[in-house]
Amino acid sequence: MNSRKRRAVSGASLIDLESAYRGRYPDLLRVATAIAGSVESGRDAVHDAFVDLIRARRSYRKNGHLEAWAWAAVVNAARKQTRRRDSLPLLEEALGGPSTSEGENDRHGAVRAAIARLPERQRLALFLRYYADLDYATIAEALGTAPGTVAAALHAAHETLRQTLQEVESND
Amino acid sequence: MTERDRSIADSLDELFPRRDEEQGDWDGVVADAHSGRYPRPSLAPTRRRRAVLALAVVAALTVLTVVPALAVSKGWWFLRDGLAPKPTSPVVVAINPQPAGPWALIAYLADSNGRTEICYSLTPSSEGSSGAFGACGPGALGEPNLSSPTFATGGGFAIGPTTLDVSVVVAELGDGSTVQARMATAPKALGAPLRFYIVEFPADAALTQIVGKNSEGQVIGTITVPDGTEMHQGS
Repeated sequence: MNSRKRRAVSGASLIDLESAYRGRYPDLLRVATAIAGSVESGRDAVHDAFVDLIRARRSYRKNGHLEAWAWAAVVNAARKQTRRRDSLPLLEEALGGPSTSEGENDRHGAVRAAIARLPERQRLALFLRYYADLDYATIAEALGTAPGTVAAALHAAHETLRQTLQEVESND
Repeated sequence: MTERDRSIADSLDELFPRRDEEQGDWDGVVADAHSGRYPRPSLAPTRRRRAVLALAVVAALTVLTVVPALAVSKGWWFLRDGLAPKPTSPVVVAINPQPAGPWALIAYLADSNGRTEICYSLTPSSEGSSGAFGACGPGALGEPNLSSPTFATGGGFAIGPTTLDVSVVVAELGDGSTVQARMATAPKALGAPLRFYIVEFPADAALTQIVGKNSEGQVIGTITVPDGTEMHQGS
């Protein structure tokens, strides 16, 4: 049997990709920035991801979700940006950096440090959940894992962060 | 049910606030996607600079459209005449997508005694290099503290580079009227974060000023065009 006949390759249109880009750009940038560690790297990551998506759009299979496909590309591009920026993950620098707001208290500093220490899967799931408001199924597809794994990762991340918050509050 | 924790959400909001004012650069994405020389992340900058000269067709103002019958295959006049500096970057090309008014803008980086310049030219018709003009210079409209950004004008067109901060360029004519320029974002392959403006105005009108504004409408660069300027090469 010809394998090409079995593949549900139907392609994504440029319009679909443009719609995804324009419709979600602030969210895409926010997630990419959080992963890559700087706004500049985040912009590059979103740009590179959509360049790749346009080039690969004919291989997109419509049995998957275009949104998840696009998020997967952005996450991967942002992770590459982090690697390109060398050595220590910039995320940890950014998250662990000094507070810039006069009114920002220890609570946020502690949360920043705690997020930086999370395992990568938990951190990525957290960013996609909170910065892009994605549901578990879309996050799972974007990260190439199962929805149950995402639920477990988010649960663990929540536990860590809640514990951090409680410790900060008990020290006040 | 997908869980969200309010206190965690608040903390995350403060870490990386949403930047609603940013809308991205879709035209640039499309341009780079169609550019055969879009630099891949694995390419070191030095290797990128040594890349063989290539023509990268750029979707400039809208999505890439059918290329009009410009002299693409004959080579660009700007490079043929032997007077223009040799490119040190890929040559990028923007094509007017409207068949009624075909023109092609090319741009590339060049070295001028150790100084990087941006070279660009416009071929305003499909009749070979008739009416073509161009310039090279180091400064783009919108660069802070820059007194003389490079620009070029000829045959009812004015063109030049801007910084990415410039989102709107308006040309003022001698009779007080204004014309808004078309903008083309240079693909990454060029190696410089630039946009280009292309203003078309009546050939018998006098161009007096070129004004660059940011997305909030603030003027961030101005070029005063000397009287009688034609095929001007600013620097």
